[in-house]
Amino acid sequence: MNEKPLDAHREKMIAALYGELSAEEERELRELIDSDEELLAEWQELAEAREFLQAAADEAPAPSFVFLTPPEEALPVSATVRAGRHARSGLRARLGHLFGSPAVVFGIAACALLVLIGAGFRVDHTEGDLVLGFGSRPHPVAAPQFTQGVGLEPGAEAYLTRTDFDRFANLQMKITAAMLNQYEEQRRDETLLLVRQVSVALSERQQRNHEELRTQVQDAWLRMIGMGVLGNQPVMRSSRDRGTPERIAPVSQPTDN
Amino acid sequence: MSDAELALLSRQGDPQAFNRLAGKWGASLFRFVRRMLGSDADAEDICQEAFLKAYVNIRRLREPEKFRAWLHHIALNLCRDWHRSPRGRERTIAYEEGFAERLPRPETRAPMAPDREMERADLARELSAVLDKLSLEQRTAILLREYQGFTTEEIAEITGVPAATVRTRVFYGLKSIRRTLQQRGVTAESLRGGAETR
Repeated sequence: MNEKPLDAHREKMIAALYGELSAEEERELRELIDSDEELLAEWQELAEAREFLQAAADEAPAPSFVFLTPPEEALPVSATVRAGRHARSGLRARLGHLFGSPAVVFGIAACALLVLIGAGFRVDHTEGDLVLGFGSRPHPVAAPQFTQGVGLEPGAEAYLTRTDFDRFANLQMKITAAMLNQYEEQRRDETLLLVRQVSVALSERQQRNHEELRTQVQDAWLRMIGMGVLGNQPVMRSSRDRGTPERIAPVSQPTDN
Repeated sequence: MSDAELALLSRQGDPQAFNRLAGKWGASLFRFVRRMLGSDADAEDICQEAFLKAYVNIRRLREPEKFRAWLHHIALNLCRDWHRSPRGRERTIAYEEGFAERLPRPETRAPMAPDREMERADLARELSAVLDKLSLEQRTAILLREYQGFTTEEIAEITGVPAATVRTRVFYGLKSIRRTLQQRGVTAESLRGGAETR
């Protein structure tokens, strides 16, 4: 809404309309209005509007707003709570008297900020994190080198960032993987050794069995010769016995004459 | 007992003192709020809330003699909130689109009825129409000055603007009322004629 501020005459007209002028001021205004047609026309407009408003005033019945019972939240508070409220309001009043207007408070806040900046207050943005501190900015610390999960290098304990932690975790993972591989190889070697031992044991056992079987076969063979079952047929010997051939007497064949 | 004495008693936790204040100013506040909103039901709700807020916060009233102005200040803030709410905006649109059309046109308007009730109804209808044409600030200033009887300085305190601004609002508001009445064919003579029939 764009309302032009009133000049002194029109302000006085409004004041006169509601009886807020002294008799002297009203008489002066009356004379001014009578001598100025524009002011007179406006005065009549205002008076007619007021006349209408007065005529339209009604005394319509209104509901009662008396509380039959006070609302619960509006009941008188306890002495302790009231004392606290009074203390707060008293403090607020004292602060209000002390500081005065909001401009003074703003000025004090600005001075405090300047003092803080002078004392070296700073806000660092380090790897996505805001760090508040005083004094000069620290020298950048070399990225810590982690070995065998030892942790941070000496002097780097002030900055453990997310990147450092990721690197540390990756290294630990690699170490763990290497240990697992080593364990796997060790297990494999042990298994191979065991298989080899079993194989040797089996081989020896087979050799032993073979010797026993050969001895048994030879004994059986000798018994058969001794009984004359085989006659003069050549004796099959093992290669081991081939150097000492044993002559076996031929078995006489029966004739038909 | 004066408002100041009753307000002081209320501050000390006497609900009956506050009830006396509510009984004293309830009807006046209700009429003010009803003219601000144009709705009886909403005005009743707003008044109820205003009295409740006043009762809960009466310990914060530093000048008990200004209880009535303080009460109107609370109610005015609630009215502003209401006008900003969807319900208030809907109501305002309904007034602009429906209420004015339902009123008789100037050329077809019947002369003021001799019967007093009819005459009062005509005037109430005209009053709603002219108030509806005012801005919220002008309406506030004129209602507080004309019907609630507050001085310019008190209105300035209630609305939180300088006294000169209040006079400006009243001045332009009255001129707007006069213009609307002319458009609707209501003249000073018809008003005086209606008054004579009373």
